[in-house]
Amino acid sequence: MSLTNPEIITPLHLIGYRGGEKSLLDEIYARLKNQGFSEDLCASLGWTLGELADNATTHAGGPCYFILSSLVGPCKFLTLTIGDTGVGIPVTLKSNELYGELTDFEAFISAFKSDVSSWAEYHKRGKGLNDLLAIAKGNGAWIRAETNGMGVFFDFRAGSGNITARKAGASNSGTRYSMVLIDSQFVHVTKKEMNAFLDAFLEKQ
Amino acid sequence: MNTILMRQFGTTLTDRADGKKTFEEIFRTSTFPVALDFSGVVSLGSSFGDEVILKVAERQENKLAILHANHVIQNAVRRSIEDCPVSVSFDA
Repeated sequence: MSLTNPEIITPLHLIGYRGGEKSLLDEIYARLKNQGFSEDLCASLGWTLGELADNATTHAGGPCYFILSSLVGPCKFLTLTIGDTGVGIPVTLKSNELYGELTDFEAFISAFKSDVSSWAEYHKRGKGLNDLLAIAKGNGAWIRAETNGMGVFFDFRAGSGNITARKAGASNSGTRYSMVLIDSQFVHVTKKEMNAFLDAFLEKQ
Repeated sequence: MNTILMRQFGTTLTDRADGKKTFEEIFRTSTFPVALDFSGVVSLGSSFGDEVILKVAERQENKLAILHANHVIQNAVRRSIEDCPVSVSFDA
């Protein structure tokens, strides 16, 4: 294995029902540990995949699919790509009248704030995507997200992080994430910190 | 204090619905106060944590001991309690 030849840990795989990823994760953890990955890296993967699969079932109303690959060299890291074929983040979020006036791009970014959800406030939902960003920031990693023809790149490799709007690779509905997890640091990042990061970006728009 | 072995509920503890079921099982079978032991658990999601960590803590004066949790599980627990008056202690 080399840095130019990633090993496919999981080929394109469909999670067809709620929690369907869990039995598969046990096999993935074993394989990653054999490759020398730490338990903290496995923990980050399980948390990330669990939240995104739960989001797909809860908000996109259907299954999701993912691909996982690893690179082992001087630095060890995973690439996780996961997507669903739902109606997309802006459509889902704006079904909550609290967010109905947002532009589609504002809705896309706002969905990553904690306590922002298509569900009513009393359900206390909306943490999953905020968790995703916090895991990436605490890991010094990066995420590309796309929904309904819009794309955004969250880069936490240096400093407090950057957000860049990017054209999506596809204009169809549904949501896709591609994320790198590096086997290095796993720092706790608060919801408040991630919300401030997102608010600062939205204020510049 | 009773210790709940969280491994009995799985190695990957994510999903809010599973968290609710897990809390119901703990509530049905345990005498509070309890400590939660994460030996053998690889991963915890904060949605699952909301349903277990916060509800267990509510039943024991908002205090909870977490045992044998890896760094990332500890991070998930901290995110669950961030907006709540819950005090958690970590060992090992």
